[in-house]
Amino acid sequence: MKKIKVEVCSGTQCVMMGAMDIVASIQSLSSLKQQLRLDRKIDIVTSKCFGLCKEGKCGPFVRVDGELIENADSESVMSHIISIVNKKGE
Amino acid sequence: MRGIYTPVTKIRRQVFTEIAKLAYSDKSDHDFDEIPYTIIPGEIPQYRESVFMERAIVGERLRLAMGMPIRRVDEHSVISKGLHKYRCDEIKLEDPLVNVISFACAACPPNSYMVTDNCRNCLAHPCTSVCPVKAVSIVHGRSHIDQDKCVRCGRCAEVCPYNAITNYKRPCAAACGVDAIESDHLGRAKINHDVCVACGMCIVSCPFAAIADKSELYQIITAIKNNKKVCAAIAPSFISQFGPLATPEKVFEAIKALGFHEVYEVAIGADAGAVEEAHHYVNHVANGKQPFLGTSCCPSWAAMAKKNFPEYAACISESSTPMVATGKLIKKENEDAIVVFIGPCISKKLEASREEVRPYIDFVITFEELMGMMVAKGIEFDDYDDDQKVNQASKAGRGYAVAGGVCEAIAGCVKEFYPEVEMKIDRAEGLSNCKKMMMIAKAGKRNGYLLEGMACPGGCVGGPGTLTPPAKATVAVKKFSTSSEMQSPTQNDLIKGLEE
Repeated sequence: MKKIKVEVCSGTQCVMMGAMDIVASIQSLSSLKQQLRLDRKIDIVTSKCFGLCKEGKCGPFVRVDGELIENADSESVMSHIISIVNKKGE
Repeated sequence: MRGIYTPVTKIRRQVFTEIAKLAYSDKSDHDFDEIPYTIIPGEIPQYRESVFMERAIVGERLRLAMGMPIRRVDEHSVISKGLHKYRCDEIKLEDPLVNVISFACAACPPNSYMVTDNCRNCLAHPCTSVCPVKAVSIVHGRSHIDQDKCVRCGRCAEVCPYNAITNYKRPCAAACGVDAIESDHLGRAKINHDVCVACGMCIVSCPFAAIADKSELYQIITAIKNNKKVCAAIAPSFISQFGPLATPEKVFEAIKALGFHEVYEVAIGADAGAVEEAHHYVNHVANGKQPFLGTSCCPSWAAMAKKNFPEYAACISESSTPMVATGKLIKKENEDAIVVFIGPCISKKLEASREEVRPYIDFVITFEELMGMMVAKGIEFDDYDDDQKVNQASKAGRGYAVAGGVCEAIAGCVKEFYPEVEMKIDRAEGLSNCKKMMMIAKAGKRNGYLLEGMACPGGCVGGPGTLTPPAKATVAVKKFSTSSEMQSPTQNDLIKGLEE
């Protein structure tokens, strides 16, 4: 099964605004595999600054399979990942 | 709640960033008054019942972050009132360091037992049977606790088969290890400053963001702007605090990019302290001249022990804390240096304001506050080289950041200098546990011991000014300390400069 690729911007501003907490929350999903029917591996990449904050956009920034989430938090990223998993299952 | 990024964390960090931005720009006092509108935009409240309330609370936080006192609630004034006095490059933080923003406090009721909706009005209702004071009865088909009679023994909660009875505690008071949280006339938290040792646990435990400490970051940036020779002394717990791209080497370079003249590991001072305390232990404690030796490095622990057990004050080590020893070294090596301690700790701000410490330490900021400076200045750690290896301290000194690391370092030195001496060690994390350890010592059961006290659970990596969860930071600190080329503090040539 194809891995889900999650890139988390680890620039200074995103780290201050909780990017590492988002990483921790994604990692925590692996302990809920059964409850979430999570059958795909998640590949987390802590990337260098996406540069989006300098364009005036609001971080933290996360890309899930290439799709950008602005103003991300643990809640939004976890639910986005779960929605991708569920879509494939249908 | 600790170790989870919440809106409370967000607001606190936004305040630091905005204050740093103000310091880097040449904006007026009037611009200071507008910062609450930057942090709380629009007219729909995000966090509390009204947007005006949100801005007023942010206003008080901004004042504290400037090192200013909070305003009186019953008097009209703009938030920039008195600001000009603080727009300078020197500051002595005035008491109190830790402040409750009273109108942000939700006046949570003090410690009590309460019946929740889980109550099924069961036939057995063991809650009533076990109560020693007849405080629990069945009223309107549900268990009821008479708060006037209740002695908070917790028996009812223990026996309920549905977990329907909970122990309700104020988070600030539950986090406080010295019982310094009292109530004002409206039931809001009030800190008893005679008892408080500024560990900062209430600040990071209040879910309403009602408690904050004062900061010096504006004045530090101003000192840098005024071309003073500002040097950084960074605490051993800095490893992994600034994200995965910020290797120790890059952190050093990034701090220099902020305008700091030089960066030193405080682990150098820890190396010096470990050697000194090892000699002290063997020459005074192991031979019974003194009942026990308490470590000196955690200022909240030392202050708690001295305040609560004054008869044993002399048993708490008088040797310089790692912060002070490093400050001494920096001042010796750099003429006219201004020393900034960067750490996880709020209590260090209190330590630095003491008369005997002031000659060596000019400012104290936390990792969180430093990160605010990095963001304000647009610094990306990844832009810097990491070929200049950080190599100033031994494995033992670097281990000070994690609970147990201090006594391990001292024990290592004792073993090296006096292999015949057998050491006895006890340690505690969290102030209430530290207090228990002192009670046992007072009862004469810790004679001949080295006692390590850490106010923060997990040690310094669990400090209130950190950005990384303690468990993760602990692993990273251990990895970094093992990578040191020096196994023992005695191999550290830098501490020889301190001995004369």
